[in-house]
Amino acid sequence: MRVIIGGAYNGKREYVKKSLLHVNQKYIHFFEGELPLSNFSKKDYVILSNFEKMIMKKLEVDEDKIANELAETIKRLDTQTNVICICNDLGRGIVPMDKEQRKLRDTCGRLYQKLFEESSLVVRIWYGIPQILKGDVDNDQF
Amino acid sequence: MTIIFITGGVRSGKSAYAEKYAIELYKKYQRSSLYYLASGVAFDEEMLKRIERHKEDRSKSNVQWKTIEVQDDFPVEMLDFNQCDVVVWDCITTWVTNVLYKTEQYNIQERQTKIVDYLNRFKSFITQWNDKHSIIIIVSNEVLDEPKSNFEEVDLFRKILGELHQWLVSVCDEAYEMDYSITKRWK
Repeated sequence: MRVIIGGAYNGKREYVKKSLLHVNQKYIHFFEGELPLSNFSKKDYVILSNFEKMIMKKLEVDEDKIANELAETIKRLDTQTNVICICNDLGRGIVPMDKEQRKLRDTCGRLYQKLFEESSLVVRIWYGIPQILKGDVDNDQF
Repeated sequence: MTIIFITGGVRSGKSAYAEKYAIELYKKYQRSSLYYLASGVAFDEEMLKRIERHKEDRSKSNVQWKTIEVQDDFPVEMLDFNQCDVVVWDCITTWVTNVLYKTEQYNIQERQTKIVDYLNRFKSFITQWNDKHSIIIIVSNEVLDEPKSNFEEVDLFRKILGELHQWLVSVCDEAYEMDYSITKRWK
């Protein structure tokens, strides 16, 4: 599994697309705000983004439980294919006034920790510039 | 000649860093003028104090700053910057906010055109000064590391600012992120 993290409008998706230029388009699948239901092979690349939306759908459930469930499903998916997670960094602004927004932010944090742990490569994107937080791009070809 | 981009959170010390760096370069390369482009608008007491504090800091320094106010539109003096100048623009976040505010009166399509026009002119200024060998230091804020806002206007602001930052980072020679006086150099 690989994680690309950064603030909104920082160029995360562009980075992923550039990294996958050598892969045939038909093997690249984007999922926004939902997890795929179909099966994939090791030839495929499944790019997941908008975890906020996935979490919002289950917001009445306990924070740890949501994070665990999502992380387990993504881990399982990663055993059959190549998962790349695009994570919006939400954790560095002001604590939101709204209870739901707070929970969303906290749950995202929990989930991201789990995804980081599972990933062989974690890259932070700052306005288009990549910084490797974990792993090695050279040894971890996309 | 050189474009330097500095971002950071509030009170991270980015203005102080930018000013110090500007003076350093001004002396090192024996430039003739040191310009400060200010985008802050004194819309309340606190903002007025903030601006006053920045002005006072600059007046205390042993070099002469020339201040130009750039709230939204570009004053003609900006065309005169040349190879002998060092320019600090503090800050782009405020300038973008002002541009959004200024164009609020138009309908969506007209507004879009106006905003794009402002951004293109901004970019062409930066490119022109750079071609004329000025040293340019651009200061901005980190505001994109929080949940998406429920307000369309805020998201529009974040999109414009994020894309502008990406552009600046791609054209600049040096890029720094400040985190409470710890400076990370990205480029």
